[in-house]
Amino acid sequence: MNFQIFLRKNNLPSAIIAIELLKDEHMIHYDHFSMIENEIKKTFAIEPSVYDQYTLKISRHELDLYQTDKMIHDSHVIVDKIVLDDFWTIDDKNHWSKTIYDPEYVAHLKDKEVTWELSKDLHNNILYFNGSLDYKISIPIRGMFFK
Amino acid sequence: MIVYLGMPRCASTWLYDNLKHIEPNGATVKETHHFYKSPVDLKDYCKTNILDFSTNNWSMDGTVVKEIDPLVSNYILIIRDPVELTMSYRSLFDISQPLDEFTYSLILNKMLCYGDIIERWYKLVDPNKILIYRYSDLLANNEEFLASITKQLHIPLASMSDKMLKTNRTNNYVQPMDQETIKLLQCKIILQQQIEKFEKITNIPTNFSINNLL
Repeated sequence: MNFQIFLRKNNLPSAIIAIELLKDEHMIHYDHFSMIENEIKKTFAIEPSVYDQYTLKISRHELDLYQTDKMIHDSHVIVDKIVLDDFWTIDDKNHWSKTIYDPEYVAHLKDKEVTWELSKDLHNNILYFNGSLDYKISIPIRGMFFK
Repeated sequence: MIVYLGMPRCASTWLYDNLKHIEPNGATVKETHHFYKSPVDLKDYCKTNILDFSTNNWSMDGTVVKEIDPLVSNYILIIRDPVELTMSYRSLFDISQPLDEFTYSLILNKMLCYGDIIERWYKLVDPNKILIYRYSDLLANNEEFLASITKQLHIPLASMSDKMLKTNRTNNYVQPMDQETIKLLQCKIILQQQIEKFEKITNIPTNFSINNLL
């Protein structure tokens, strides 16, 4: 089954991104790369032996950015969409993501006197520079979409 | 093996009742949903069964399709006006759910997206294996419809099941409220695009009219 991940950035010269697919604690797929282009598509495929729930984790841990004057909004990467099995689309119309903030990142925001409540905006497509977007992916896929 | 791809609410039970005589073991189970179970014995299943009439087959995973396709002679897809299908499907659920939400959820899970569905299946398998029929043709003349299907599938035509086809058309249509209108309009645009895409890919005119949605 194919995974296609469409990433975009605006004001960053580059971003270091990791893509992991996990089943329970087991790593099924791992990719780690520097994103230079403003838009990029990363693809990979798996052969599921059993139908189960997986976690797709897209993360950044760019600690150097703490030392810069980059505003947090300037430094994010956007996951425009994820296409599963060449068919199912996860995008801004149906957020399946959960934002996981690194505690250090939260502390950093407090130091910067950021006022918004992070916990109120966990389901989005924005990947900050120290944290991850986690997607629960169930196979077969359609069950995820059927309500 | 013959696999019914879908759609649900397109007389699949009626058609199954009229084709199941070809099963040597007298199969009586329609919705096996076998292709949604863990793919461990797919080939065995395909070798020992002649029909699979699960109405969610249209959405099976690509890896499953690749595995079973060598054992499948034909796929059957019956298409129905998406607005009619929505109303019929909605009758199975809580019809107090706003029509716009319900329609949009069917679009999100691709059930009404005939264009995307046929594009995917034409890539996954030999398009000549996919037999496409219109639900409206079945309503117009179910004997002719059944004769046409059995002829194309090269299977004997049994006497038609005396089960009446439950047409279940748009009787439960509810006039949308004002706040639903915008989202329904969005749905309408998406559905129109999907119909045009389907017709372009298959060269089959659907004669669908989605104006009833609004």
